[in-house]
Amino acid sequence: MKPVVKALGVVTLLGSMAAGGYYFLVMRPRKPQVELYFDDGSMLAMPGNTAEAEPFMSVAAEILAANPVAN
Amino acid sequence: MKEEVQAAFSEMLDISTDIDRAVLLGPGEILASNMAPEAHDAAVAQAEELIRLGDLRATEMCSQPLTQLVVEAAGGMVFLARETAPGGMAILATGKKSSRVGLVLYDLKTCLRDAREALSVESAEVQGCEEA
Repeated sequence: MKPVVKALGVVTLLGSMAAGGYYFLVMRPRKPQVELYFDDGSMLAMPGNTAEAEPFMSVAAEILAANPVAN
Repeated sequence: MKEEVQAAFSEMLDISTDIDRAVLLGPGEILASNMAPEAHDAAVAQAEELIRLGDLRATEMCSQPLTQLVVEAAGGMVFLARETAPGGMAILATGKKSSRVGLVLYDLKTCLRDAREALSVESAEVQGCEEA
């Protein structure tokens, strides 16, 4: 009985690790990197790797290059 | 006037632990800043460019003008808040990547409001002197 329990434990552990890896690499929601808020209360969020976000990311990179932040 | 605007700016920096560098822009001038002086001209141009890009998006979406902006880049975060009225002020700030966005935007708007109050008091005093 003991080897069966041990094998089940190993399988469960490997399965959990695989599921965690899959979630981290594929399923994890992409956080918007550019957020615009407008005077009428509307907002627009864009992932940073999209064409429409690129001009904002470019200016932000220039600002941060001139004023480095200690993260 | 300048001292009160500077005080509002300094208070924002004291309160907000997430804001690293910031510059408060009035129409055609820098009202307060903790950025290096050599970065001022570029910061003004960059803030104007972000506002232009934001307003362009607003026009495309049939929304009203941009009021606030947040960009998370590789080196940290960039924030911008502005008054939309003609001749309004704007404030550009940087922060670390884990910055609390809501709190930073609140602190930027509070600074803008306090600076506006200081400028309004000043213009009312000038008007009172002229009338007397």
